Amino acid sequence: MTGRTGIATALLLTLVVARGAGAENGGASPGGLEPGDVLDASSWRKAETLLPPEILQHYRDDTYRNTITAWPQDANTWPDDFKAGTDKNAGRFEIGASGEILDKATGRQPDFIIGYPFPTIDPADPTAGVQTVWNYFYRSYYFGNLRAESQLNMMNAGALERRIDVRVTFMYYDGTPDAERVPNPQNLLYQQRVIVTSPADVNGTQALAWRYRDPRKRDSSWAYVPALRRVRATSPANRSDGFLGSDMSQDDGPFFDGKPEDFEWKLVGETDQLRLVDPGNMSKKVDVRWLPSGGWRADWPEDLKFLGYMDPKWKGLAWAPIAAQLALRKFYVVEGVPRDKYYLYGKIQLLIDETNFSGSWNRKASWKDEPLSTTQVIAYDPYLVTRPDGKKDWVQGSTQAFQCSENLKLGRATVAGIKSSPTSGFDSRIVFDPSEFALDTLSRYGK
Amino acid sequence: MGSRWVGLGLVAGLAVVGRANAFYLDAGRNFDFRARAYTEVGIAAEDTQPQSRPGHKAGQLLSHRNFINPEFEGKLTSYQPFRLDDVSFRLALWGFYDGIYDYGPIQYDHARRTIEGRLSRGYTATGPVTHNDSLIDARKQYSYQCDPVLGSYNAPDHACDLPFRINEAYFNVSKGPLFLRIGRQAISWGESDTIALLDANNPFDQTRGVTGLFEDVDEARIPLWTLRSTYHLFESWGPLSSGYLDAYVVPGSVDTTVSNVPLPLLSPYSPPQDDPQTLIAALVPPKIGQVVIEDAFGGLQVGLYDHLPSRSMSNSRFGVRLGGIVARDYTASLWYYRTFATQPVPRFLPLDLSRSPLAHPGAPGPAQLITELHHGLVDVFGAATSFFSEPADGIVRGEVEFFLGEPAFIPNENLPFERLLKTPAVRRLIQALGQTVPAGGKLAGSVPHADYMRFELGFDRFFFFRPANPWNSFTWVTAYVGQWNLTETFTNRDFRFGGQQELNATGTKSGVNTSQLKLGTISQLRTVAEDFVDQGPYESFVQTHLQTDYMHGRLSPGITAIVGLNGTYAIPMNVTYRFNDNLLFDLKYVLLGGAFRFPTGYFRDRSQIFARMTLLLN
Repeated sequence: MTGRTGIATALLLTLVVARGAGAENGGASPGGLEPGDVLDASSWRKAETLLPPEILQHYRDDTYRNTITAWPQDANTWPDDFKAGTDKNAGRFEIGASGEILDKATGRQPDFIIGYPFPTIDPADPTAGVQTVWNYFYRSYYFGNLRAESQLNMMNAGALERRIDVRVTFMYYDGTPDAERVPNPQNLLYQQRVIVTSPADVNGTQALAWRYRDPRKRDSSWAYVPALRRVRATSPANRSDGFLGSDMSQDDGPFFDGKPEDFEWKLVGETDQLRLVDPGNMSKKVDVRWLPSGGWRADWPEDLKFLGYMDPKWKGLAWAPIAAQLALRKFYVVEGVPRDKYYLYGKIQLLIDETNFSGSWNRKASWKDEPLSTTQVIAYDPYLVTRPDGKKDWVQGSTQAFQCSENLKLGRATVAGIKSSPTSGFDSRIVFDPSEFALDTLSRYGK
Repeated sequence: MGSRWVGLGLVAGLAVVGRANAFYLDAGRNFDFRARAYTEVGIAAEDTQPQSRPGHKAGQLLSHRNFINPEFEGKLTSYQPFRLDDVSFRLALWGFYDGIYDYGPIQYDHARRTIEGRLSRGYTATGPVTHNDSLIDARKQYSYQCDPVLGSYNAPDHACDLPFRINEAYFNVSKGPLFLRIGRQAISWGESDTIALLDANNPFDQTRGVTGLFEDVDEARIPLWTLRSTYHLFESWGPLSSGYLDAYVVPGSVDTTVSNVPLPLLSPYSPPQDDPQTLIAALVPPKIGQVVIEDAFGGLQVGLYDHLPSRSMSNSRFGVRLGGIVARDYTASLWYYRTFATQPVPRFLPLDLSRSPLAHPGAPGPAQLITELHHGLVDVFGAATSFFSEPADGIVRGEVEFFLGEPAFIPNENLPFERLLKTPAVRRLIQALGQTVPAGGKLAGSVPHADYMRFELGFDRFFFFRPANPWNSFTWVTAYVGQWNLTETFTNRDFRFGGQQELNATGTKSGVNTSQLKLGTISQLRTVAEDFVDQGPYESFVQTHLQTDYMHGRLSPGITAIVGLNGTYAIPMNVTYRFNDNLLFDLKYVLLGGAFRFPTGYFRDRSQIFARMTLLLN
C-alpha cells in the first residue's frame, strides 16, 4: 500500500464510521456546528468527520465557505404517488445476477416501477449496495422529462477557462408518474439529446443517447458532427471520459449516471455527513410557472451569484458553491468497481441519502485507489405545484444549480447545470413526442 | 474586399472576447447570430520537385487564406398561425480571400499572367469554338470562392458579382412525421470521412488539392439548392426501430454546380502539369512546325474547357434513402442517388478549324485543340451500417457504394490524337504529304464509362493511455478505403487516372508519340496510354487519426496518416490551442511523400506548415 493510498483508506474509514446523533434532527452536529454557523477556515475542525477530506480541505483553506442549515432527516417530502409506489414495492423485488431488478414473483424484469424499488435497505444483504443505487435512480426518474439550456463551465482555481452552452432534453420511460408513462416497445430507460449551441466552432454538434432497461444491453449513442455533416455512431464504452475535454463525464450525469449493471456494488457503511442544499428550495422560496405549451419552468433569481467566479469579491475557488448551504444528513456509503477494466476510474464511492436517496458526494479513485475526482451536487426537497387545470405535480423546486466535478490532481473543475441565461428554460414534466429522440432527428436538424 | 472582410471579422471578434454564450438578438432567444473568422498562412516545408509548375522553395508562402463565416438562425414557430411543429431558418455566408496572387511569391501571379493555354468554362458544347465561354481567371478561382449559382462569373480580372458563397440558406418546416428543408444545404450520407471518395452527394471544391489535407473537408464541400424531405416512418416495428425515409432533389434548372478541379500550372496546389500550350512543341517536331502549324492552321491554340452541365431539369440530382436501426444494435441505411461524378474526365473536342486557313482559306487562325472537362452524371447505390462491437470495444462501420456508369478515362478513347487526324481537312493535308489516314470513325474523343465499387471499413474507439494523458481519452478513428473498377476487371480495358500524365525528368510526359515521328511519318501520330498514370482495377488506402485533449480541451493535438497501398503517404499533424472561447490558434504540419499515385501522391512535394488564428463570435 502506498503512503497516499493508505491515507485515502484511513480517511475513508473515518468517514464511514463517523456517525452521531446530530443528523437525526438536522441540528447540532457531532462537531458542534449549529444552523446559522458558517463553515470556513475558522471552523473547519468542527466538520472534520462530516465531509470528504478533499472537500473539508477547501473549508480549511477558506476557498469554500457555506452556512449550516437544518434539514432534519425526518423532514423529507414524499410525493404521494411516489410514496404509494414505494409502499407497494416493499418485498416485491430482488437483484438479479447482473445487478438488475427482478420481480420475485415472475423472476423477470418488471415492466415499470414507480417509487423506491427497495424501500428497506438491509446492510447485511450482499446486494444492499446496488439496491441503494437503484433507489437513487428511481428517485431521479420520478421528476420526469427535462429540457434545459445549460452551461458547461470549465475552470481553474481562479477563473473560468471555457464555457460551452448546450440544450439538453431527457425523456424517461420508467419511474415517472403514471400519467407521464409512454409505450415502451424497445424497453428503453431514457433517451437523451444534447445540442451544443456555443462556442461557434462547435455549434451544431449533437449527441443522442438511448439507455435500455435490459441489464446487459449497452447504450446506443450517436453524434451529429457538423464538420462531417453526418451522423456517426459513437462508442457507449467511453462514458468515463471527460466530455469535450472537461472534468465531467457522461457517467457523472446529475450525480451519477452509470449503468448500475456495469459495476460491482457494495454497501460499505453508513455515515453522517454535511451536504450541499439549495437554500431557496429549503425555504420554499421557489418560483415555478406552468408553460403555455406544457411543463414547469423554474425561474431562478436573476441576480443570484451562486458560483465563486460569478462574484468579483469572492477570493476562494472559482467553482465554490457560494450561495449554497450545508445540511447534516445520514448517508449510505456505496462503492462500485467497474466491470470494464478500461474505465478511467477503478472505484467509485457514492454517498446516498438514507431517507430520500439523493446523492451528495461521488468520489472516484484510480485503479490504484488514488483519489482522482469528486462530483459534488446540491440537493432539493420536492416541491408541490398546481397546474392551471388543477392537476398537482411534484418538481425539483430549484433556485440554483451545482453539479461540479472537481479534478483533485489538477486543481480544476467543471460545473454544469447553470442556465445559459437568466431567461433560459429549465423545464420539467415536458411531454415529448418520442420522435424527437429518433435517429433521423439528428440529421433533420443538423446544419 | 477580402482584407476588408477580415478586418471586420477581427473587429467583431475582438469586440466580444470574454463573452461565450450564444448571441441572441431578442429576449425570446429566437434569433441567434454567431460568426467565425480565421486567417491562415501556409508555408512550404520543402522544395518542389522539378516537375511541379510553378515550383517553390522551402519557406515560401503558399497560401494566406482569410475566411469569415457569419451565421444567422431564427425560430419562427411561435410567429406562424399554421400549427406547424417547427418553422425555422438558417443563413450562413462563407467569404474566402487568399492573397497569394496579390502579395505572395511572384511565380504564381506570373504563371497566371503568362499561361499560354486557353482556359475557359461554359455551359454549351460549342463554347470554346464560338468563344461565348468565359475565360478562367486563376485569381478569381483561388483568391475568392464565388457563389457558383448566384451572380455572374464576369470577365477576367473582375471579381464575381458575389465574391463569397451563400453556403447555406434554407427554411425548415416540420409537421408530425414530415420534415422539409428548402434551400441551399449540404447532404451527406454514409460513413465516410477525411477523403471524400464515397461522399458524392455534394460537389467539392478541389482547387486546393486533396480534400481534407490542405483545407477542411467541410470548407471544400459545396452545398446545393435542394428540396429535402425526411419522413419519420415508425418508432418501432418488429426488429426495426427509428425508421425514416429521406429524399431530396436538386433541380437542374436551378443548380448544376459541380466539383472544381485544380487548374494546371497556376497555383501551389496544381498537380504537376505543363502549360497546355507546350503540348504543341511536343506534338509537332520543330522542323515542320512552321509549315504545318503556322501556314496550314494559322497557329494552333490549345484549350482546356470546363464544360459545366447546362441548367436543365435533365441534369437534376436526386436521391432517396431508407434508414433505421436493426435489432437495436445496427444503425443501417440503404440509398440511391444520382449525382455528377466528383472527378471530371478530359476528352478531345473535334479539332476546331473554324478559323484555320486549312479549312477556310484566308482565315487568320488559329486552329484550336480543345480538351473538354466532362462532368457526367452517375447513378449511385449504397448501403452503410455501424454498430458497437463488444469484443473490439469500439464502433465498427462499413459502407459500400456502387457508382454505375461513371465517366472514366482511357487515353486512346478520351484523348485520341489518332482520331484528330481523321478530321477531313487534316486528312487531306496528310494525304498531300503522301501518307494515308483511314477514313471514318469518330473525329473526337469519347468518354468511356466504368462501374466502380467503393467502400470503407472503419473502426472508431476511445482508449485511455494514462502515461500520455491521465485525464482524457484518446480518440482513434481509422478506416480502410478502397475502390474496385469492376469494368476493368471484367472487360480488361485499361483505365487510367483522370488525364494525369506520368512524370519525366523535368516535367510530365506528353501522352503522344511525336518524339518518334517526322513529317513523313506524321500519320502515325497516336496517343501513348502508358504516358498517363495507371489506375489499377483495385486502389485502396488506410487512413487513421488519433487525437486527445489536454487542459480542459484547450490544447488538442492530433495526427492523421493516409497511406496508399501503392506507396503514397500523407501525414497531417496538428495542434489546436484555445486561448479562450473566442480565440484559437492552430498549427499544422502536413508531411507528404511516396509514389506519384492516387490518392495523395500527385502532391507529394507539397509538404507544408499551416498556422491559423481563429476568432469566434459566439
